Amino acid sequence: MLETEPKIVNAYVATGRVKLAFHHILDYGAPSLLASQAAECAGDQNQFWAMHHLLFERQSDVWNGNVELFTRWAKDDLKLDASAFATCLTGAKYKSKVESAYAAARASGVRVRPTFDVNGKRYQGALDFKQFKQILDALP
Amino acid sequence: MRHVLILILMFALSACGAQGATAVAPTSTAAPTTAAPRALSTAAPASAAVPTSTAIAPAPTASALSESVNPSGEHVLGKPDAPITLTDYSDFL
Repeated sequence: MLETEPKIVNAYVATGRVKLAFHHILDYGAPSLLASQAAECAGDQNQFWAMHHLLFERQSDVWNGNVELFTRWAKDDLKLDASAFATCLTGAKYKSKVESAYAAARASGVRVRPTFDVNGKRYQGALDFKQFKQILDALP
Repeated sequence: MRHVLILILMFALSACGAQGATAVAPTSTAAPTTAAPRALSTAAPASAAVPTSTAIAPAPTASALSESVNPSGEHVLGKPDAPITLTDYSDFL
C-alpha cells in the first residue's frame, strides 16, 4: 500500500471521487499498538496522515519504536508540539480507541492484512493500483 | 633568397620554441601540498543546523487534502462527501 496509496490519492482522492479511511489492525501486539497510538496522537495536531505515511516509510524502525523515537519524529519531521504529543502517547490517550477498532475489525470478519472495503464490499489481501483502478472505475 | 631562407628558418625555430614552452609536464599524481584557493571544507558550517532525522514529506497532494474523522472514529483523507469510501484495514508493521 505504501507504493499504491499515493497513486490512489492522486488519481481518486484528489479528484474528490474517493475518500480514504484508515482502520487500525494490531497484528503484532505492543509494537502495532504503540504505532497506531502515535498516529492518533499526531491526529490531535491534524497530522494523522503525515504520521501514517512516516510510519509506513520507516516500518523497520517502527518494530523497535518507542515513545522517544515517535516523539522525535513528531517533532523533527512533522514539526508537532513534542510535549503534547509525548503526553498523549505516554498517557495512552488512544489505547482503548485503537484496541476497540481492532476488536471491531475482527468482529466484522477481518482476518487478512491488509483488507479493504470499497463502499462496503470487502477485498482481502494486497491489491496493486491496477486492481484498485478496476474496482473503483467500475463504480458509479 | 638567403634572407628569405633565414627568415623561414627563424619562423620555424620560433614555432618549435613555442611548442616547447607550452609542452605540458607529465601530470603529477601526488596530492598538492598546498591547498587550492577554492578548496571545499568538508566540515559543516557552525551555523548550519544539522538535521537529526531525514525529513520525509507525505505525498504532495495528500497534505493539501481534507482530513477528518468519521463517526466510527476512522481518520479520513479526502472530501467527506466523496461517493466512494475506500477503507484500509491495516497495521503499521
